[in-house]
Amino acid sequence: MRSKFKWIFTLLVAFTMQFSFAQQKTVTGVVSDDFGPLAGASVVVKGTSNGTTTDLDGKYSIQAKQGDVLEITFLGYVKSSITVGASNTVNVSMKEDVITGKTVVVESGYRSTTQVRSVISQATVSAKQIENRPNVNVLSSLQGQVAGANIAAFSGQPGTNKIDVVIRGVGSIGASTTPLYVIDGVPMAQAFFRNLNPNEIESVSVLKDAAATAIYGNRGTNGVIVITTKKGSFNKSFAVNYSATYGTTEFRGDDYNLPTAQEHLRLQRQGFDAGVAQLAASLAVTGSYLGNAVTVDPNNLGAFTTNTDWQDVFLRTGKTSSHDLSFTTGGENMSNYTALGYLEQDGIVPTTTFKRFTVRSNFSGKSTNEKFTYGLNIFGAYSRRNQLEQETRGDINNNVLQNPLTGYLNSPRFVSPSLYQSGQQLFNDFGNPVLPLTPLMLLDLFGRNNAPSFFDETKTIITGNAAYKITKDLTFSITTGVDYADDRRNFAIGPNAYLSIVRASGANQPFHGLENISSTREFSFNHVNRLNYKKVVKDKHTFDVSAFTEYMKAHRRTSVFQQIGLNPLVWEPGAGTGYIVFNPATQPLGYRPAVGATKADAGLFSYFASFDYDFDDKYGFAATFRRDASYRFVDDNKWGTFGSVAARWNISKENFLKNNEWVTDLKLRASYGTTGNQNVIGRGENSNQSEIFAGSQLVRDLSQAGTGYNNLPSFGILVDPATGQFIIANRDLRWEETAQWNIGLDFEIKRRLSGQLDIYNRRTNDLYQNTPISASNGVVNQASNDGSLENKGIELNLRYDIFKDSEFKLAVFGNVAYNDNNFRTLGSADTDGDGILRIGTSVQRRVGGRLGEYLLVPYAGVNPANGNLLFVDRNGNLTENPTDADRRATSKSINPDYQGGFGFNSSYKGFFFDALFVFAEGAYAFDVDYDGLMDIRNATNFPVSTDLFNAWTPTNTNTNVPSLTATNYDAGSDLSDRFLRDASYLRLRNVSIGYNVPSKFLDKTFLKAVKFRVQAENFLTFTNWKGFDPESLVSARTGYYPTPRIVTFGLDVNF
Amino acid sequence: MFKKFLLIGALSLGLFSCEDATDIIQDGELNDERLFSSVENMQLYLNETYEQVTIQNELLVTSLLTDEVGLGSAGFPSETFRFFVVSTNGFAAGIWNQHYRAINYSNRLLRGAALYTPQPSEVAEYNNIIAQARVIRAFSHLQLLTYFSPNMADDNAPGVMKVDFVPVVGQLIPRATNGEVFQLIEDDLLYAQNNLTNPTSGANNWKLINSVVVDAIRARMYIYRNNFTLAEQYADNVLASGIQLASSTFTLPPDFPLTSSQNVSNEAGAASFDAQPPAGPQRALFLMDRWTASTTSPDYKKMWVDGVAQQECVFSLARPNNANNFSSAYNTNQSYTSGGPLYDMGRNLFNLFTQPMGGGAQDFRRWAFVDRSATILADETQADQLNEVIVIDKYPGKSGSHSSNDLKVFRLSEMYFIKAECRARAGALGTAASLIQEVRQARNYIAGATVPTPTYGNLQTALADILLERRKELCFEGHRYIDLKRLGTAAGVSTTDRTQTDANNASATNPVNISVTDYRFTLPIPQNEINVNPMQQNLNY
Repeated sequence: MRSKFKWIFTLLVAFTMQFSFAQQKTVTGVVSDDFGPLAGASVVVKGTSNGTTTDLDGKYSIQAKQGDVLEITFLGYVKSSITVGASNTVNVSMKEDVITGKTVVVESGYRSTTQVRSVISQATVSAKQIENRPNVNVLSSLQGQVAGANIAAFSGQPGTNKIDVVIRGVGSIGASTTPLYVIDGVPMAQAFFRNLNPNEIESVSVLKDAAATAIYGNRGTNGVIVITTKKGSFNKSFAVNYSATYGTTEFRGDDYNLPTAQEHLRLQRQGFDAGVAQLAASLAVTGSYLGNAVTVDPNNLGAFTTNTDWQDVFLRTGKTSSHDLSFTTGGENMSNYTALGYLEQDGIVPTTTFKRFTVRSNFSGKSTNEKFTYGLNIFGAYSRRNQLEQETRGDINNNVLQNPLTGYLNSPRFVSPSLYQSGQQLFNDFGNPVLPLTPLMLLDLFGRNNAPSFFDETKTIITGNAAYKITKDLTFSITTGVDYADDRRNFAIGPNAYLSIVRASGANQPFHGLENISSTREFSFNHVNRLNYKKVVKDKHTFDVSAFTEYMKAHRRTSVFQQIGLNPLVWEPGAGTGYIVFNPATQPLGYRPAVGATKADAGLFSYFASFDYDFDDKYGFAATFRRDASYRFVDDNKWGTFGSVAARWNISKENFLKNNEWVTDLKLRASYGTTGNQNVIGRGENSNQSEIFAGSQLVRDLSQAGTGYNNLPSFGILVDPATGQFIIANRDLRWEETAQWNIGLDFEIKRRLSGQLDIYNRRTNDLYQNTPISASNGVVNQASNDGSLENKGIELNLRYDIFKDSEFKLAVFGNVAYNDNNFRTLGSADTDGDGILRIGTSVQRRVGGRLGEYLLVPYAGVNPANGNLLFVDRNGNLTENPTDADRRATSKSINPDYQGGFGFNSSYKGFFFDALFVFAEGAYAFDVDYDGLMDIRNATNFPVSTDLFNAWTPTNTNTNVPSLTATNYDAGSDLSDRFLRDASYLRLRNVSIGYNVPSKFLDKTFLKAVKFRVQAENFLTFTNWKGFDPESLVSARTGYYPTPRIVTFGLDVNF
Repeated sequence: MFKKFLLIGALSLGLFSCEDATDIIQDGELNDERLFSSVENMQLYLNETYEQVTIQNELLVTSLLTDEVGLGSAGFPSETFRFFVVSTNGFAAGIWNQHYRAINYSNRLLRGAALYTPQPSEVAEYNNIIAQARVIRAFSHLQLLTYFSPNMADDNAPGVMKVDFVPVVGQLIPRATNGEVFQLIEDDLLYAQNNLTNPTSGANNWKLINSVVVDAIRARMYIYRNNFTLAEQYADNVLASGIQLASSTFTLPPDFPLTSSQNVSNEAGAASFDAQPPAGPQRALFLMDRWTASTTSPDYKKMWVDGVAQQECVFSLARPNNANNFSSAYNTNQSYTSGGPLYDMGRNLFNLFTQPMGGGAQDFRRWAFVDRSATILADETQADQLNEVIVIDKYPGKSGSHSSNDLKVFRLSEMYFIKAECRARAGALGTAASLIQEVRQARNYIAGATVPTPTYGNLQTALADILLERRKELCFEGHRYIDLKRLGTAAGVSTTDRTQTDANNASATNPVNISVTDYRFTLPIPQNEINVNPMQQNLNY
């Protein structure tokens, strides 16, 4: 980005430069920041095209004359202007401006401007805040750093796609809420980032208001995230940068108070003695479990010794390591950045890993006369990930027999892992699956080739741009890019796996075993033509007008084959060996090999224009207008029209503030605009399909060929592969439109306290929903536009430099965003017009209520008289027997009210110490696991929480745990908010401590800079949530892969 | 240079025309005009229409809301099983949505058929297809009334939506009265009677709709409506169709239990599903039980394992062995104690099968409906979820699959019960008794023994015995729910008959048993339907 800035700048001044070298002298110096030399900073003689960049030592050399002003810029730092004096040496200390990104050139992919002239609401995170953090996915590193962007991972599987990014609240119900990702100026159809190497990223900008996103009108509704990768600079010497990181990943634990074997037995006994009939067959009562495989003397429970810590068995401390090597170089007319990266990270479940190899080469060039410029960015990645089946199959989240993440909570410690040797032994000893086998069946998942599930993904992103200056003011440019991903999955249940042995037995076959090999290829192409006219009139009026066309086309192809019947002697995953040929005479039909394929195409076309006007950096006005067509819609609905207007007032430039010592910067912004969303169906939790392909045929009534009654061929209603439901044509389907206004204030006080304040209101009309329809239509939902939803909120972003001029430097920063989400209208589904729509047993929609609002009976604790649960009925009275009619709106949902982050940066000499905390407040979710752990009736086969020791008894009446024999236990789970728990949290997301070796120690070596660092991710979490991970936008949680704690040591070397 | 670049720019503009990106028809799309262009294609559409018909939601909800099951050793308590039923109940939505989907399919087929004019030689087949679609539409409406109408005997009582067209989205469809819906059913069945040409005998005939099936639907519909004359008339038609009650007598393997009260739980060999037990009753039951078993198994058992012959099936929904696994509703993997039983047989129901039938006769259903691997406690009051597992074996799988079984929609036994009830209502208690005796005789497995004919002192005794025999014979086939509601009071049965040990909890919201007049004997109109199509909700929901 900085190089681009440079040549844009160069172009601007190219026609006004004066060639007077007469009094020139060579000025040299070092540009540094608090931590040392800054490589790659741009040094320009003001008013000329004469510029250079600093080398890796931060050194530069430039021709200038006394009285010239050197302007030094570097991304993320305040611009420095220094007048050349008599000395030939000018050393510059740059001031970091990390959080407000104040001097950052604002680049929205299509338009670039300076911070002063920017009218938009955006936040930029620079490389410094992303680099070398041990996260596979760059989105994880953004968490807490951008006001208004709610980033939550609901899987900690390395390489997961299950990361939700919600900007300024959930603005849609059924449609996509994913922001648009723009990489090096090219909008991407795929929103998967596991393969992008965070260390290659120069900056990430999050565009929030309509002024910023309207130019992406057809895809910008949910916000835009602009990612710019690192570039080389012209006229720069060759430099090498190497980073290495090593560390560990580990499970954070839970707060459920799981019992030891002894405690579990005591609870069983206690429950049975109290009269819980379900415990009659429990180990503590009968003395035998799993058919005498586990025995105890019921009269001497204390003698029992087995106490298996299943956490140690099912979870592990994994390793993580990464290596990054990059080269930059720049000549007169070309520059290059080349990077190689390798990352390996173990998941905390032993069968999960992620490995990634990446290569990038970013090339920039220009013609000698500087009229023509071009750039090409080539990126390739190859990754392999081993996953749990649960990662792509949410329906087994709570399957204790197939998901170790719930299994660990549900494995009694009185069972010894030695009862498992192999799948065959398990089957011989215990037969078919039963609940008591839970931990032993889970052990089987970890056996070699028992449950392989790995993905090999090849990803290529190639983006390019070129610009030609037709006249002084007129430029024609193109930006184009392709994104290709080929994801191949190999999934199997090996023939020696317990499950295969069970199935083989069931089918009366010698072998079972299933192997599924599938391939998904997605390709997208995006091309933008642009004609730009920029004119400065009388030095004060700047006009910048552009016209664009944009073409986008995407293709998806998948294929799959499945073989059942694997010979254990020779079968290996993916090798094709050991496939037993299907014989209809001896094998059931289910052993037939299966094949399948799908094909989908998608496209968008747009033309649009932008207009920007500036008066003397003091007032500005911007407008955009677009027309967009989507392949999804037909007739009059095909095209959507969107636009925005915005204005700013740089108050601090006014005379009355001009030299004010106190208010050093003040800008007021306002914008209004509309954007569209045509991704009708949001990506499902388990889907790997880009949203642009989902729901491609919703406007047509179609049929498909299939297998019908009694295996006969058939024709039936087309099923949407994205939703699995029949499509009833909706020709009225149209663009979902979001109108947003935003008022913002950018300020800086005494050059120490800087920040941004934004107030916004986003209203989504023509909401896409899977609108409920009458079952008489054959389906109960149809994708349609209905209802409207509003998000309004405030975002505040602050940074305060406490110590900045001493050796000890300390800056604190923070951001907080408040978002309130509510329905304005419910749409046609609210046929009775009462403004209330019950859409689930415990969820309702209500005008003025938030999306996903829980509908529950308040739980009022334990009745001290009898230990039963008490509830508040609809009349406000306590009752033991609530009914469905006692439910009420809770105003609570999974989406937090407040979320944000805060932290500090500090340094002393070469040492640095940085910390970042993130928080979310006001999010509520059902703790399904805790519900089960608090139900004594489960204690025969599953652990229950030791919290139950505090259960009500006639002598322990003052307790919040109901009697073990409470007769209305289920009402607490079925109807009430008893297990709806506050998932607010405060988390130390990242802490890093390190040391920059002073350059004096390196002078005599080939090294230019050396840095050591120790980092920790998710080191501490403060929350009332008892489960693995409060951070997730899933309302009923069980069996999700928790985000790990990662601790790493790293080394960076420049030479 | 400049020109070159402009040329490239112009090319890049020209290459990508707007329509190329915005007017995309996906490959392989098929619309109605192309689809409904031959009788063959209509038949293919009919194949899919049949596929939409299922009664499995009804089977399971009937088990859970009555006294058919207890919690199995692998089962988790469900809300419905605890009699916790609200307007968002999953079974209510399942029954409602699935049958309206089948109805929608039928109506689409009828609408599509209008696009094609058959050749004279095709007319009979064309009409036969339409007739089958209309029977499916009629049957689904009848199932809906069975679960959602508060009183089927009252034509003026609220029924369900009557849908004989393909609705447009947003169209409000009122809740018709029972009478209006029955009129549609009768019209459809009349058309079918006149146009159906599917054979009534031969291979697999009972898996397609034919005229006997139409009569069976009518018999059931009229008995539910208390129209005993017509119910008997159509039941007679089915009884005269040539289908016979399946016999339970066979050459008993050595050691086969000679009384249904014998407990064979813990005999040697009980633990292995596949291996033939070495000796004793377990081996005898193994030989009788398995779908791989010898052909000496009685006809009645062969019917449940979907042997090749029709036996007493009038209409079964075919579920070939790769189709969805209904038996998994009761047992996760197979009907075996270690097959992950989610629900097992209610102890009170089990006890009925252990009773001697009189005259030396013994009830074969004890062995046919309960897997040999079941564990039965001598003292039933000591039973809990794990220590007593009465594995339901009514869906034991078939050759090649442990969990696929045809869904028996109509069996001849039910026609016997319908006729018996009609006779009893008409005062012919003796005829009623002998019909019940005929069914019982067919369930006796002791060669030479004759089940005595019961004696009915009055209508209530007759109805009580008919209800009892329905409970035993038609368990897990989706009858108990409507039978208790329809016959309970008249037969002197006031509540469901769950034992305490089968119940998961006991409180006002989750009682052990509910009265036969409880509101929960009518399911709630699903909340989703009420949301978009306001109609009168059933009482107390």
